[in-house]
Amino acid sequence: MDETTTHRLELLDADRHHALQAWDLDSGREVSLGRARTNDIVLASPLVSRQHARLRFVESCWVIEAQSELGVWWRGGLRSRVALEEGVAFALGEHGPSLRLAKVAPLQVFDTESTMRFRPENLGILVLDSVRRDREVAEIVESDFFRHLEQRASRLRGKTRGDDGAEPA
Amino acid sequence: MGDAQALRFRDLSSESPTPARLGRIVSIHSFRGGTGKSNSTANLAVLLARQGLRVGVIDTDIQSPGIHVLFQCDPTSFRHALNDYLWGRCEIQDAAVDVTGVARPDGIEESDFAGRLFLVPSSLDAGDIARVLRDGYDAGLLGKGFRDLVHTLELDYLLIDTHPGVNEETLLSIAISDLFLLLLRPDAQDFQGTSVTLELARRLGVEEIKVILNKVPPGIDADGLKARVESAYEVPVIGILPLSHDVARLASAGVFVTRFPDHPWTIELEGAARELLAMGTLRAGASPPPPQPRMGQS
Repeated sequence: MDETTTHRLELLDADRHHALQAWDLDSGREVSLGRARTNDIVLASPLVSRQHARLRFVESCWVIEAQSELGVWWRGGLRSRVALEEGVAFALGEHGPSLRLAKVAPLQVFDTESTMRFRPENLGILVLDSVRRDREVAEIVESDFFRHLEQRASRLRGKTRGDDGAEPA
Repeated sequence: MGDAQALRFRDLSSESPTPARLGRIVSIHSFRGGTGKSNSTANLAVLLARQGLRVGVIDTDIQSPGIHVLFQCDPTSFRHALNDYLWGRCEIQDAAVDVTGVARPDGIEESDFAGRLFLVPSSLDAGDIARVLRDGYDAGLLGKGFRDLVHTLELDYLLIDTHPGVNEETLLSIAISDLFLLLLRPDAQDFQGTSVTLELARRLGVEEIKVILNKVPPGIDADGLKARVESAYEVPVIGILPLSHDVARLASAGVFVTRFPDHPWTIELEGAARELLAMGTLRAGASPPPPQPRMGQS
Protein backbone atom coordinates (compact mmCIF):
# COMPACT_ATOMS: atom_id res chain seq x y z
CA MET A 1 0.00 0.00 0.00
CA ASP A 2 1.14 3.46 -0.83
CA GLU A 3 2.15 5.50 2.24
CA THR A 4 0.08 8.44 1.07
CA THR A 5 -3.04 6.36 0.59
CA THR A 6 -5.67 7.04 3.17
CA HIS A 7 -8.23 4.50 4.24
CA ARG A 8 -11.58 4.31 5.82
CA LEU A 9 -13.38 1.56 7.66
CA GLU A 10 -16.85 0.77 6.39
CA LEU A 11 -19.72 -0.93 8.17
CA LEU A 12 -21.48 -3.10 5.60
CA ASP A 13 -25.11 -3.72 4.89
CA ALA A 14 -26.31 -7.29 5.25
CA ASP A 15 -25.95 -7.97 1.57
CA ARG A 16 -22.36 -6.71 1.89
CA HIS A 17 -22.60 -4.53 -1.15
CA HIS A 18 -22.69 -1.10 0.27
CA ALA A 19 -21.46 0.75 3.29
CA LEU A 20 -23.96 1.96 5.85
CA GLN A 21 -21.45 3.99 7.72
CA ALA A 22 -17.78 4.85 7.34
CA TRP A 23 -14.98 6.15 9.51
CA ASP A 24 -11.87 7.80 8.14
CA LEU A 25 -8.66 6.31 9.48
CA ASP A 26 -5.50 8.18 10.34
CA SER A 27 -2.39 6.03 10.08
CA GLY A 28 -0.83 7.87 13.03
CA ARG A 29 -3.60 6.94 15.37
CA GLU A 30 -4.76 3.67 16.92
CA VAL A 31 -8.52 3.05 16.81
CA SER A 32 -10.57 1.05 19.29
CA LEU A 33 -13.73 -0.83 18.30
CA GLY A 34 -16.42 -2.21 20.60
CA ARG A 35 -19.81 -1.90 22.14
CA ALA A 36 -18.77 0.43 24.97
CA ARG A 37 -19.35 4.10 24.33
CA THR A 38 -15.74 4.86 25.20
CA ASN A 39 -14.50 3.27 21.97
CA ASP A 40 -13.48 5.33 18.95
CA ILE A 41 -15.87 3.28 16.85
CA VAL A 42 -18.97 2.24 18.74
CA LEU A 43 -21.00 -0.70 17.42
CA ALA A 44 -24.08 -1.06 19.57
CA SER A 45 -24.69 -4.70 18.74
CA PRO A 46 -25.21 -7.45 21.32
CA LEU A 47 -22.89 -9.58 19.20
CA VAL A 48 -19.96 -7.22 19.79
CA SER A 49 -17.87 -7.19 22.98
CA ARG A 50 -17.44 -4.01 25.02
CA GLN A 51 -13.77 -3.80 24.03
CA HIS A 52 -13.71 -5.94 20.94
CA ALA A 53 -10.64 -5.02 18.92
CA ARG A 54 -7.94 -2.47 18.14
CA LEU A 55 -6.96 -1.26 14.72
CA ARG A 56 -3.38 -0.06 14.15
CA PHE A 57 -1.29 0.92 11.19
CA VAL A 58 1.80 -1.32 11.30
CA GLU A 59 4.51 -0.70 8.71
CA SER A 60 2.39 -0.60 5.56
CA CYS A 61 -0.76 -2.33 6.73
CA TRP A 62 -3.80 -1.80 8.84
CA VAL A 63 -3.81 -4.60 11.40
CA ILE A 64 -6.74 -5.55 13.57
CA GLU A 65 -6.07 -7.23 16.92
CA ALA A 66 -8.89 -8.87 18.84
CA GLN A 67 -9.22 -7.99 22.50
CA SER A 68 -12.31 -10.11 22.89
CA GLU A 69 -12.52 -13.89 22.90
CA LEU A 70 -15.13 -13.55 20.16
CA GLY A 71 -12.23 -12.66 17.89
CA VAL A 72 -12.27 -11.43 14.33
CA TRP A 73 -13.95 -13.49 11.62
CA TRP A 74 -11.73 -13.41 8.53
CA ARG A 75 -11.79 -15.61 5.45
CA GLY A 76 -13.91 -18.31 7.08
CA GLY A 77 -12.12 -18.57 10.41
CA LEU A 78 -11.75 -16.86 13.78
CA ARG A 79 -8.49 -14.95 14.18
CA SER A 80 -6.91 -12.90 16.92
CA ARG A 81 -4.77 -10.79 14.58
CA VAL A 82 -5.33 -9.99 10.92
CA ALA A 83 -3.48 -7.78 8.46
CA LEU A 84 -6.45 -6.33 6.59
CA GLU A 85 -6.70 -6.16 2.84
CA GLU A 86 -8.62 -3.51 0.98
CA GLY A 87 -12.08 -4.56 0.01
CA VAL A 88 -12.10 -7.83 1.94
CA ALA A 89 -14.89 -8.02 4.49
CA PHE A 90 -14.28 -9.20 8.06
CA ALA A 91 -16.59 -9.45 11.03
CA LEU A 92 -16.33 -8.73 14.74
CA GLY A 93 -16.94 -12.26 15.99
CA GLU A 94 -18.42 -14.99 13.87
CA HIS A 95 -21.90 -13.52 13.88
CA GLY A 96 -21.14 -9.86 14.44
CA PRO A 97 -21.36 -6.93 12.04
CA SER A 98 -19.19 -7.01 8.94
CA LEU A 99 -16.70 -4.31 8.12
CA ARG A 100 -14.30 -3.60 5.32
CA LEU A 101 -11.21 -1.55 4.78
CA ALA A 102 -11.56 0.75 1.78
CA LYS A 103 -9.24 3.11 0.02
CA VAL A 104 -10.28 6.73 0.06
CA ALA A 105 -9.98 8.32 -3.34
CA PRO A 106 -7.95 11.56 -3.32
CA LEU A 107 -11.06 13.44 -4.34
CA GLN A 108 -14.26 12.24 -2.78
CA VAL A 109 -16.95 12.12 -5.39
CA PHE A 110 -20.48 11.46 -4.32
CA ASP A 111 -21.68 8.22 -5.78
CA THR A 112 -25.00 6.46 -5.50
CA GLU A 113 -23.64 4.27 -2.75
CA SER A 114 -22.92 7.16 -0.47
CA THR A 115 -26.58 8.07 -0.47
CA MET A 116 -27.22 4.69 1.10
CA ARG A 117 -24.75 5.30 3.89
CA PHE A 118 -26.38 5.49 7.24
CA ARG A 119 -24.94 7.53 10.07
CA PRO A 120 -26.59 6.95 13.42
CA GLU A 121 -25.90 10.52 14.45
CA ASN A 122 -28.00 11.52 11.46
CA LEU A 123 -31.12 9.88 12.80
CA GLY A 124 -32.41 13.38 12.25
CA ILE A 125 -32.97 12.40 8.62
CA LEU A 126 -35.93 10.37 9.86
CA VAL A 127 -38.02 13.47 10.01
CA LEU A 128 -41.40 13.17 8.46
CA ASP A 129 -42.32 15.79 5.91
CA SER A 130 -45.97 15.83 6.86
CA VAL A 131 -46.84 18.59 4.38
CA ARG A 132 -45.59 16.44 1.55
CA ARG A 133 -47.33 13.38 2.95
CA ASP A 134 -50.66 15.21 3.26
CA ARG A 135 -50.34 16.56 -0.27
CA GLU A 136 -49.63 13.10 -1.69
CA VAL A 137 -52.43 11.51 0.32
CA ALA A 138 -54.85 14.22 -0.78
CA GLU A 139 -53.95 13.69 -4.43
CA ILE A 140 -54.74 10.00 -4.11
CA VAL A 141 -57.84 10.09 -1.92
CA GLU A 142 -59.51 12.80 -4.01
CA SER A 143 -59.20 10.72 -7.15
CA ASP A 144 -62.10 8.73 -8.58
CA PHE A 145 -59.88 5.69 -8.34
CA PHE A 146 -59.69 5.96 -4.57
CA ARG A 147 -63.36 6.77 -4.05
CA HIS A 148 -64.24 3.68 -6.02
CA LEU A 149 -61.71 1.72 -3.97
CA GLU A 150 -63.20 2.92 -0.68
CA GLN A 151 -66.62 1.66 -1.71
CA ARG A 152 -65.27 -1.71 -2.76
CA ALA A 153 -63.20 -2.00 0.41
CA SER A 154 -66.15 -1.34 2.64
CA ARG A 155 -68.27 -3.87 0.72
CA LEU A 156 -65.56 -6.50 0.84
CA ARG A 157 -64.88 -5.88 4.50
CA GLY A 158 -68.52 -6.36 5.31
CA LYS A 159 -68.40 -9.71 3.58
CA THR A 160 -65.17 -10.80 5.18
CA ARG A 161 -66.21 -9.93 8.68
CA GLY A 162 -69.80 -11.00 8.27
CA ASP A 163 -71.04 -14.52 8.80
CA ASP A 164 -69.45 -16.56 6.11
CA GLY A 165 -70.15 -14.27 3.25
CA ALA A 166 -73.53 -12.99 4.27
CA GLU A 167 -74.15 -9.46 3.07
CA PRO A 168 -74.27 -6.98 5.94
CA ALA A 169 -77.70 -5.62 6.71
CA MET B 1 -37.53 -30.50 5.38
CA GLY B 2 -39.05 -29.39 2.13
CA ASP B 3 -41.85 -31.91 2.41
CA ALA B 4 -44.43 -29.78 0.69
CA GLN B 5 -47.32 -32.05 -0.03
CA ALA B 6 -50.54 -31.54 -1.82
CA LEU B 7 -53.42 -31.84 0.55
CA ARG B 8 -56.56 -33.85 0.58
CA PHE B 9 -59.41 -31.83 1.93
CA ARG B 10 -62.33 -33.14 3.86
CA ASP B 11 -65.79 -31.99 2.98
CA LEU B 12 -66.39 -29.90 6.08
CA SER B 13 -70.04 -29.25 5.34
CA SER B 14 -71.04 -32.72 6.53
CA GLU B 15 -69.08 -32.52 9.77
CA SER B 16 -69.89 -31.01 13.13
CA PRO B 17 -69.06 -27.31 13.65
CA THR B 18 -65.34 -26.67 13.81
CA PRO B 19 -63.76 -25.53 17.05
CA ALA B 20 -63.47 -21.78 17.20
CA ARG B 21 -60.35 -20.44 15.56
CA LEU B 22 -59.02 -16.93 15.78
CA GLY B 23 -59.36 -16.42 12.03
CA ARG B 24 -57.23 -13.27 11.96
CA ILE B 25 -56.20 -11.88 8.57
CA VAL B 26 -52.92 -9.97 8.65
CA SER B 27 -51.56 -8.07 5.64
CA ILE B 28 -47.82 -7.54 5.66
CA HIS B 29 -46.58 -4.74 3.49
CA SER B 30 -43.65 -2.50 2.76
CA PHE B 31 -43.42 0.67 0.73
CA ARG B 32 -40.32 -0.48 -1.13
CA GLY B 33 -38.74 -3.83 -1.92
CA GLY B 34 -35.76 -5.14 -0.04
CA THR B 35 -37.09 -4.51 3.44
CA GLY B 36 -37.10 -8.22 4.26
CA LYS B 37 -40.89 -8.49 4.11
CA SER B 38 -41.17 -12.02 2.75
CA ASN B 39 -38.48 -13.25 5.08
CA SER B 40 -40.13 -11.67 8.13
CA THR B 41 -43.53 -13.00 7.04
CA ALA B 42 -42.23 -16.56 6.70
CA ASN B 43 -40.48 -16.44 10.05
CA LEU B 44 -43.46 -14.90 11.79
CA ALA B 45 -45.67 -17.65 10.37
CA VAL B 46 -43.33 -20.31 11.74
CA LEU B 47 -43.28 -18.69 15.20
CA LEU B 48 -47.09 -18.60 15.28
CA ALA B 49 -47.39 -22.22 14.12
CA ARG B 50 -45.07 -23.19 16.95
CA GLN B 51 -47.64 -21.86 19.36
CA GLY B 52 -49.85 -24.69 18.24
CA LEU B 53 -51.80 -22.45 15.89
CA ARG B 54 -53.02 -23.12 12.38
CA VAL B 55 -51.37 -20.58 10.12
CA GLY B 56 -51.69 -19.85 6.42
CA VAL B 57 -49.48 -17.68 4.23
CA ILE B 58 -50.60 -16.32 0.86
CA ASP B 59 -48.07 -14.97 -1.58
CA THR B 60 -50.04 -12.18 -3.26
CA ASP B 61 -46.85 -10.74 -4.67
CA ILE B 62 -47.99 -12.18 -7.98
CA GLN B 63 -45.60 -10.02 -9.98
CA SER B 64 -42.53 -11.24 -8.14
CA PRO B 65 -43.33 -14.31 -6.06
CA GLY B 66 -40.66 -15.64 -3.74
CA ILE B 67 -41.82 -16.69 -0.30
CA HIS B 68 -42.04 -20.37 -1.29
CA VAL B 69 -38.24 -20.46 -1.41
CA LEU B 70 -38.06 -19.72 2.30
CA PHE B 71 -40.37 -22.66 2.98
CA GLN B 72 -38.09 -24.80 0.84
CA CYS B 73 -40.82 -25.76 -1.56
CA ASP B 74 -40.15 -27.24 -4.92
CA PRO B 75 -42.30 -25.15 -7.28
CA THR B 76 -42.69 -28.11 -9.64
CA SER B 77 -44.64 -29.86 -6.85
CA PHE B 78 -47.35 -27.18 -6.83
CA ARG B 79 -50.51 -28.54 -8.36
CA HIS B 80 -52.12 -25.12 -8.34
CA ALA B 81 -51.17 -21.54 -7.52
CA LEU B 82 -53.09 -18.47 -6.41
CA ASN B 83 -53.26 -17.49 -10.08
CA ASP B 84 -55.36 -20.58 -10.86
CA TYR B 85 -57.87 -19.58 -8.20
CA LEU B 86 -58.05 -15.99 -9.50
CA TRP B 87 -58.70 -17.30 -13.00
CA GLY B 88 -61.43 -19.66 -11.82
CA ARG B 89 -59.50 -22.86 -12.40
CA CYS B 90 -59.67 -24.14 -8.81
CA GLU B 91 -60.81 -23.39 -5.29
CA ILE B 92 -58.29 -21.46 -3.23
CA GLN B 93 -57.72 -24.32 -0.81
CA ASP B 94 -56.69 -26.51 -3.76
CA ALA B 95 -53.65 -24.25 -4.13
CA ALA B 96 -52.58 -24.65 -0.49
CA VAL B 97 -49.59 -26.82 0.32
CA ASP B 98 -48.78 -28.11 3.79
CA VAL B 99 -45.36 -26.81 4.81
CA THR B 100 -45.66 -27.70 8.50
CA GLY B 101 -42.35 -29.55 8.20
CA VAL B 102 -40.37 -26.30 8.18
CA ALA B 103 -42.08 -25.07 11.35
CA ARG B 104 -41.63 -28.21 13.42
CA PRO B 105 -38.54 -27.88 15.64
CA ASP B 106 -35.86 -30.54 15.37
CA GLY B 107 -36.45 -33.46 17.71
CA ILE B 108 -40.22 -32.95 17.90
CA GLU B 109 -42.23 -35.81 16.45
CA GLU B 110 -44.83 -35.01 13.83
CA SER B 111 -47.56 -36.42 16.06
CA ASP B 112 -46.50 -34.16 18.94
CA PHE B 113 -46.62 -30.96 16.92
CA ALA B 114 -50.03 -29.36 17.01
CA GLY B 115 -49.33 -26.36 14.79
CA ARG B 116 -50.04 -26.33 11.08
CA LEU B 117 -48.52 -24.18 8.39
CA PHE B 118 -49.91 -23.79 4.87
CA LEU B 119 -48.68 -21.85 1.90
CA VAL B 120 -50.66 -20.64 -1.09
CA PRO B 121 -47.93 -19.84 -3.64
CA SER B 122 -48.10 -17.58 -6.66
CA SER B 123 -47.26 -19.03 -10.02
CA LEU B 124 -43.64 -18.82 -11.12
CA ASP B 125 -44.61 -19.34 -14.73
CA ALA B 126 -43.51 -16.35 -16.80
CA GLY B 127 -46.67 -16.51 -18.88
CA ASP B 128 -48.85 -16.45 -15.77
CA ILE B 129 -46.95 -13.49 -14.37
CA ALA B 130 -47.22 -11.66 -17.68
CA ARG B 131 -50.96 -12.28 -17.75
CA VAL B 132 -51.40 -10.75 -14.29
CA LEU B 133 -49.30 -7.76 -15.26
CA ARG B 134 -51.34 -7.30 -18.42
CA ASP B 135 -54.86 -7.99 -17.18
CA GLY B 136 -54.66 -7.53 -13.42
CA TYR B 137 -57.10 -9.59 -11.41
CA ASP B 138 -60.33 -9.25 -9.51
CA ALA B 139 -59.33 -8.17 -6.02
CA GLY B 140 -62.85 -8.97 -4.83
CA LEU B 141 -62.17 -12.58 -5.65
CA LEU B 142 -59.02 -12.32 -3.58
CA GLY B 143 -61.09 -11.21 -0.59
CA LYS B 144 -63.40 -14.19 -1.02
CA GLY B 145 -60.31 -16.37 -1.26
CA PHE B 146 -58.98 -15.16 2.08
CA ARG B 147 -62.30 -15.91 3.70
CA ASP B 148 -62.61 -19.34 2.10
CA LEU B 149 -59.11 -20.26 3.12
CA VAL B 150 -59.63 -19.25 6.75
CA HIS B 151 -62.78 -21.39 6.84
CA THR B 152 -61.69 -24.49 4.97
CA LEU B 153 -58.29 -24.74 6.62
CA GLU B 154 -59.65 -23.57 9.99
CA LEU B 155 -56.93 -20.99 10.32
CA ASP B 156 -56.01 -18.97 13.37
CA TYR B 157 -53.88 -16.62 11.29
CA LEU B 158 -53.71 -15.87 7.61
CA LEU B 159 -50.63 -13.83 6.70
CA ILE B 160 -50.74 -12.03 3.38
CA ASP B 161 -47.41 -11.25 1.77
CA THR B 162 -48.22 -8.24 -0.42
CA HIS B 163 -46.52 -6.64 -3.38
CA PRO B 164 -44.44 -3.58 -2.40
CA GLY B 165 -45.80 -0.19 -3.33
CA VAL B 166 -49.36 0.96 -3.61
CA ASN B 167 -51.75 -0.45 -6.17
CA GLU B 168 -55.43 -1.32 -6.23
CA GLU B 169 -55.05 -5.02 -5.40
CA THR B 170 -52.68 -4.33 -2.53
CA LEU B 171 -54.88 -1.60 -1.06
CA LEU B 172 -57.90 -3.89 -1.18
CA SER B 173 -55.97 -6.71 0.50
CA ILE B 174 -54.99 -4.30 3.22
CA ALA B 175 -58.52 -2.96 3.56
CA ILE B 176 -60.05 -6.35 4.29
CA SER B 177 -57.43 -7.34 6.86
CA ASP B 178 -57.89 -7.32 10.61
CA LEU B 179 -54.36 -6.07 11.01
CA PHE B 180 -52.07 -4.15 8.74
CA LEU B 181 -48.42 -4.80 9.53
CA LEU B 182 -45.96 -2.37 7.94
CA LEU B 183 -42.31 -3.22 7.61
CA LEU B 184 -39.69 -0.57 6.98
CA ARG B 185 -36.01 0.18 7.33
CA PRO B 186 -34.72 3.16 9.29
CA ASP B 187 -34.15 5.13 6.11
CA ALA B 188 -35.54 8.48 5.02
CA GLN B 189 -37.21 7.22 1.85
CA ASP B 190 -38.90 4.29 3.60
CA PHE B 191 -39.99 6.55 6.42
CA GLN B 192 -41.65 9.11 4.17
CA GLY B 193 -43.19 6.63 1.73
CA THR B 194 -44.58 4.40 4.45
CA SER B 195 -46.38 7.37 5.97
CA VAL B 196 -48.47 7.75 2.81
CA THR B 197 -49.41 4.07 2.70
CA LEU B 198 -50.32 4.21 6.35
CA GLU B 199 -52.60 7.18 5.85
CA LEU B 200 -54.32 5.51 2.87
CA ALA B 201 -54.92 2.41 5.00
CA ARG B 202 -56.54 4.58 7.67
CA ARG B 203 -58.80 6.20 5.07
CA LEU B 204 -59.82 2.72 3.94
CA GLY B 205 -60.97 1.94 7.46
CA VAL B 206 -58.16 -0.35 8.67
CA GLU B 207 -58.39 -0.19 12.43
CA GLU B 208 -55.30 -2.03 13.59
CA ILE B 209 -51.97 -0.93 12.20
CA LYS B 210 -48.60 -1.93 13.60
CA VAL B 211 -45.02 -1.38 12.49
CA ILE B 212 -41.89 -3.52 12.47
CA LEU B 213 -38.51 -1.91 11.79
CA ASN B 214 -36.05 -4.19 10.05
CA LYS B 215 -32.36 -3.94 9.15
CA VAL B 216 -31.64 -1.56 12.00
CA PRO B 217 -27.85 -1.05 11.97
CA PRO B 218 -25.77 -1.30 15.13
CA GLY B 219 -25.07 2.04 16.71
CA ILE B 220 -28.65 3.20 16.55
CA ASP B 221 -30.47 4.09 19.73
CA ALA B 222 -33.35 1.62 19.40
CA ASP B 223 -35.54 3.30 22.02
CA GLY B 224 -35.07 6.68 20.37
CA LEU B 225 -35.89 5.21 16.98
CA LYS B 226 -39.03 3.53 18.31
CA ALA B 227 -40.19 6.75 19.96
CA ARG B 228 -39.59 8.71 16.80
CA VAL B 229 -41.51 6.33 14.55
CA GLU B 230 -44.37 5.96 17.00
CA SER B 231 -44.81 9.68 17.42
CA ALA B 232 -44.64 10.36 13.66
CA TYR B 233 -46.98 7.51 12.67
CA GLU B 234 -49.13 7.28 15.80
CA VAL B 235 -49.02 3.49 15.64
CA PRO B 236 -47.15 1.02 17.86
CA VAL B 237 -43.78 -0.38 16.82
CA ILE B 238 -43.87 -4.06 17.78
CA GLY B 239 -40.38 -5.07 16.70
CA ILE B 240 -36.96 -3.59 15.99
CA LEU B 241 -35.06 -6.25 14.08
CA PRO B 242 -31.30 -5.75 13.89
CA LEU B 243 -29.42 -5.61 10.63
CA SER B 244 -27.88 -9.05 10.56
CA HIS B 245 -25.42 -10.68 8.26
CA ASP B 246 -26.62 -14.03 9.48
CA VAL B 247 -30.11 -13.31 8.15
CA ALA B 248 -28.64 -12.30 4.79
CA ARG B 249 -26.33 -15.27 4.69
CA LEU B 250 -29.10 -17.79 5.30
CA ALA B 251 -31.33 -15.70 3.05
CA SER B 252 -33.39 -18.08 1.02
CA ALA B 253 -31.81 -21.26 2.32
CA GLY B 254 -34.31 -21.72 5.11
CA VAL B 255 -36.27 -20.31 7.98
CA PHE B 256 -34.01 -18.22 10.17
CA VAL B 257 -35.81 -18.69 13.50
CA THR B 258 -35.39 -22.45 13.14
CA ARG B 259 -31.68 -22.28 12.39
CA PHE B 260 -30.83 -19.56 14.91
CA PRO B 261 -33.31 -19.86 17.79
CA ASP B 262 -31.24 -17.74 20.20
CA HIS B 263 -30.21 -15.03 17.74
CA PRO B 264 -31.16 -11.41 18.63
CA TRP B 265 -33.13 -11.17 15.37
CA THR B 266 -35.19 -14.24 16.34
CA ILE B 267 -35.78 -12.99 19.86
CA GLU B 268 -36.98 -9.63 18.62
CA LEU B 269 -39.36 -11.25 16.10
CA GLU B 270 -40.71 -13.48 18.87
CA GLY B 271 -41.65 -10.28 20.69
CA ALA B 272 -43.58 -9.15 17.60
CA ALA B 273 -45.31 -12.56 17.40
CA ARG B 274 -46.40 -12.21 21.02
CA GLU B 275 -47.95 -8.84 20.20
CA LEU B 276 -49.94 -10.45 17.39
CA LEU B 277 -51.12 -13.19 19.72
CA ALA B 278 -52.17 -10.66 22.33
CA MET B 279 -54.19 -8.85 19.66
CA GLY B 280 -55.92 -12.08 18.66
CA THR B 281 -56.82 -12.75 22.24
CA LEU B 282 -58.21 -9.30 22.73
CA ARG B 283 -60.33 -9.43 19.62
CA ALA B 284 -61.57 -12.95 20.21
CA GLY B 285 -62.46 -12.00 23.77
CA ALA B 286 -61.08 -15.29 25.01
CA SER B 287 -58.23 -16.50 27.17
CA PRO B 288 -54.78 -16.61 25.56
CA PRO B 289 -54.54 -19.02 22.63
CA PRO B 290 -54.30 -22.47 24.18
CA PRO B 291 -50.88 -24.06 23.88
CA GLN B 292 -50.48 -27.49 22.37
CA PRO B 293 -52.20 -29.85 22.09
CA ARG B 294 -55.05 -28.30 20.19
CA MET B 295 -58.58 -29.54 20.29
CA GLY B 296 -59.33 -32.15 17.70
CA GLN B 297 -62.44 -32.70 15.67
CA SER B 298 -65.24 -34.11 17.73
